[in-house]
Amino acid sequence: MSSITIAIGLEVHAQITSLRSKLFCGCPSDYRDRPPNANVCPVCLGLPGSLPVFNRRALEKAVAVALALNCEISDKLSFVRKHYFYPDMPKNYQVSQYDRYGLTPLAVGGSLTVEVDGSRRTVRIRRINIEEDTGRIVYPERSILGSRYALVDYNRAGIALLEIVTEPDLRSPREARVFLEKLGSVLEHLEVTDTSLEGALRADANVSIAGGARVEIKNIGSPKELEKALSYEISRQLSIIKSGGTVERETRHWVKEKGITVASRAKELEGEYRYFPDPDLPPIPVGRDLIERIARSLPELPDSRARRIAKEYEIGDYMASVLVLHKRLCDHFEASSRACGSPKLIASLLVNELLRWVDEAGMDIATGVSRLSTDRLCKLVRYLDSGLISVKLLKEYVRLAVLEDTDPEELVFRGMTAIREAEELERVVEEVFRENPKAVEDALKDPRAVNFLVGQVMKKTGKRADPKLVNEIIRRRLFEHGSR
Amino acid sequence: MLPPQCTRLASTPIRVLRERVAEDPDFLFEYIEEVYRVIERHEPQIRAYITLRPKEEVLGEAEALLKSGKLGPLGGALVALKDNISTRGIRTTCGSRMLESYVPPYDATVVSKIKESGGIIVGKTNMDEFAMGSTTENSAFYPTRNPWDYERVPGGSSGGSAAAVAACEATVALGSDTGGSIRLPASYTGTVGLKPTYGLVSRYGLVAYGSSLDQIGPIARCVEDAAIVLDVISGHDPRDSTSLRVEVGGFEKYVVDEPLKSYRVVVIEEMIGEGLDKEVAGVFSKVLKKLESRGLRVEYRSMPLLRYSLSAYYIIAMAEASSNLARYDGLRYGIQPEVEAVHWTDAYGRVRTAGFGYEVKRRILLGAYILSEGLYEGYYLKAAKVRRLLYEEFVRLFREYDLAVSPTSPTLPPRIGEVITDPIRLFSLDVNTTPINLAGLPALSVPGGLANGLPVGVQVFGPPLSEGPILNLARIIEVSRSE
Amino acid sequence: MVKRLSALTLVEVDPQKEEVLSRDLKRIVEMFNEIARLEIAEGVEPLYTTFFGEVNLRDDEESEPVGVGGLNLCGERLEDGYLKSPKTL
Repeated sequence: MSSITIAIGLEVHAQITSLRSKLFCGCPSDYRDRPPNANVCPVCLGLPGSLPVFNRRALEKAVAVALALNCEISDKLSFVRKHYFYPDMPKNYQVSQYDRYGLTPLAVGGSLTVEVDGSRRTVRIRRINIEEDTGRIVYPERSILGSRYALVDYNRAGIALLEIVTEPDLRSPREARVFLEKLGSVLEHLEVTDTSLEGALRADANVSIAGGARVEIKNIGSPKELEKALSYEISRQLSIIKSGGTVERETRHWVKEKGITVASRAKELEGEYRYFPDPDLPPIPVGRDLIERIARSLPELPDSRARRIAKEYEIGDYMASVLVLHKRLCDHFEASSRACGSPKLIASLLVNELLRWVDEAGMDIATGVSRLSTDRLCKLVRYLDSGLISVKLLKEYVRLAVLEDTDPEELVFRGMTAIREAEELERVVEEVFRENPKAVEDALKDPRAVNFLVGQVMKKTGKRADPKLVNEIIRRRLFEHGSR
Repeated sequence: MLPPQCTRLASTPIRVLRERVAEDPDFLFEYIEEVYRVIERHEPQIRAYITLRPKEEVLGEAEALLKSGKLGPLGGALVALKDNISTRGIRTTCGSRMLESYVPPYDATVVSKIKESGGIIVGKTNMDEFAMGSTTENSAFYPTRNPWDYERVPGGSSGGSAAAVAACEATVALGSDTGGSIRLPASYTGTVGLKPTYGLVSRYGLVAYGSSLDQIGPIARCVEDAAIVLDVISGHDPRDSTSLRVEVGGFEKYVVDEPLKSYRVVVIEEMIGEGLDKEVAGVFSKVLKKLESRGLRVEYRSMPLLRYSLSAYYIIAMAEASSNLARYDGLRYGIQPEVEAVHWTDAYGRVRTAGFGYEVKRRILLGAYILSEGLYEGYYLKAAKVRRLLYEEFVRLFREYDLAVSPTSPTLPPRIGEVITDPIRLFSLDVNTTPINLAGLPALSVPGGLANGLPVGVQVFGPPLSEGPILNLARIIEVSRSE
Repeated sequence: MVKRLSALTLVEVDPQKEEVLSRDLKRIVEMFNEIARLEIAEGVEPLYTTFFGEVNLRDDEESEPVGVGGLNLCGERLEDGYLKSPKTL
């Protein structure tokens, strides 16, 4: 099985959420808390006679992304119309870019390197387009199939979008996830996309197994969903191959709620997009001076940041590489380390504990970070240093802070402290000593027999006790016992 | 040169109107009453309008205008608008069932400019559906008749605008010109029609047909009126990406009876070649003689590439049209689709099939064909290359010459029903006008005289932004007509 | 050909006119083939627009959106602000 090659390519759609207005009109780009169809005007509704005027800031943002991904940038920005009918598209064509007929996308030929389980992979970026987002279709009733009609909201129509397309260089769902996380982090560092916003970072994925047909999966809303969708799709394809069938080239939809991919309704005219240069938007020159100015002002990006924090905080390359996958997390790490000290501990709490709970709860990192705030992290560092809590308790504190938004101070008031714990343990150890006099004698002679006593204590406490602490108590008691 | 519908009062030019109203505000009401009398009498036969505003509404606006004291350069002129120019609160049908009840929520930039300059909108004029046609017979509602001969077409696609102005049912009108849609009807109705340099007049609010070719321009009874309207509607517009940043204004100053310069004038031989009616040729050569008698040098040049311009034009126009007309699915405006228990492609298909007429469908289908995978290089890309070559030829030509002249149309106005059934014959009416749009040049049609009692237009054109000299030469043709 | 184009553009013509249409299309395509057959030297760049000025760009500034209510379109097909549309599934 391990010899089978899996090739995954991504088509990532990232909204330029840092823009105030849409790509071709002045409607506000912040639509998420607005009533449906509130952020629209003649231009983004495609009313007869309306014309697009390009938002120059979108070009600056796109150039920054192209530079960060080491792409070659075109000397002009040329738009094409891509035609297909769909109710979420006001003009029934999308203004996008194209790489044929002598036309060029904004940027081509970059790369982004990811590291998964210690091995690195450089994923080639085929191209970056600037294009407009579509509206949204929702269904009035719970059941999509039961509804007699659909509902459309055009607030999202015309939002500036970057389409970032990779070569099929990814080899596993996990790798794809880390790639999308890292790309998201690059966009966060560049202040292009706030990836925590619903729908701001989306992906279509294509998968082929052992050089077989390429299946495209659409409608994936986050890195985590991407991993799930690809895992599902790969096992679906593998089971077809195993049973002697052939995988067909098709487009499938990821249905998040059910965790499956389903075949899209066959479109016989798929691919007939009738591209041609948009006559309403003549090419816009992309000046070398603009590119140089943006290059000079590029912020620190995830890779260099990882190198810096690994060194500066002495947390090791692995911790650093995970932290920089999420800009918020990394910012939080640096701020908290400066405020509370103990960067190694903080890195470990964030990477090993926070990420785990956030993932398990399906929570976004921003929420997790706000719950495990710098203030709370400082308290935890202090409690641990003073022996008020054990490492084991510390982990429990983190869990409760992330999942239940509980302040560590409150847990102390509730008496969940190491001191209480120690008193309790003293009692249990005394009991074990009483019940196992023979073992106590053995342990006095042979220190290796201590483990049996530790085991007994752990058994009685339902394995909740901190074994290090138990060990200490037992040794102290044995010492007292022996000196008697 | 006026057809019999016009009265002296109803044919008042803008400058006179402005002066008379300044002296005596009541003159504006008299003038409006007279124009409405002409409309009442002749509109039932001509049918220039799709939507005519009620007289009371127009009089009310005139009163408000007088009260404001801001008569502006248009001085209360009654402006008819082709029905593909968006007007806030007035339906804008494009001559199509699809938009029969569509009322735009905004004004086109040119409409705002007209209103700010003392113009009063009198109505929306008939046109070939979505500007696709050369006779106004492709209107979904009814054909418009030529005021000079009701059995003949007024030309198209801005036929309603031209007929309304010719018959004095409006002071001036705006039309749109994609391949001759202002100049051809101007030629057939004895009016002056100007297609400006691409980018001189904002397209914002003009319902698109062929976006890289479309321009809005004036149709008037005299060169001076056309110049005054051009002054009003031209200029930079931040809402249109293809709006030029050039100094405008002062076009009126070019309307003088003598050449401001000893223009070197050229006639392109291919524009007076085969297919040219002898009546048209006769009027045209008379005009040339008069120009020469004024000391202007007229020379002849050949441009063999023009042979391909009609095909190149139609390829580009249809491709763009097919794309521009994709948005009409009924969902957001226009014909209301069924929405319940129907698949969207079926609902869209029904709306589009019912909403578009035959000619529009033909161009949508052909446009899609032209842009198809595998055919693009042979048609669209090739046509765009021909366009480049043609443009460069014109650039070279206008290094040697200041202006060019040609017959606007190779024929006299056709009879109703005569050409509409034959697409190639219909297209060939545009043979002299389409190259101008491909190259983005300014061009004007001015009446050169009558033949068999029908007007014959002369096209004057030049390099980009040569509207001034064009108006000057057109004025010379205009004054020498009566000599 | 007509069938495929119809499916692509979502327009159909009157069945009675189909024959005329096919004939018309054929004639027009023949006319277009003049262009397809034309030999053009290499290096000639296509000309897609005759606008040679500086393309208008916008600064990233918000303007007050009109909202679909303000546009006064399809009012009767609004449901809680959403536009009712035929199903896409």
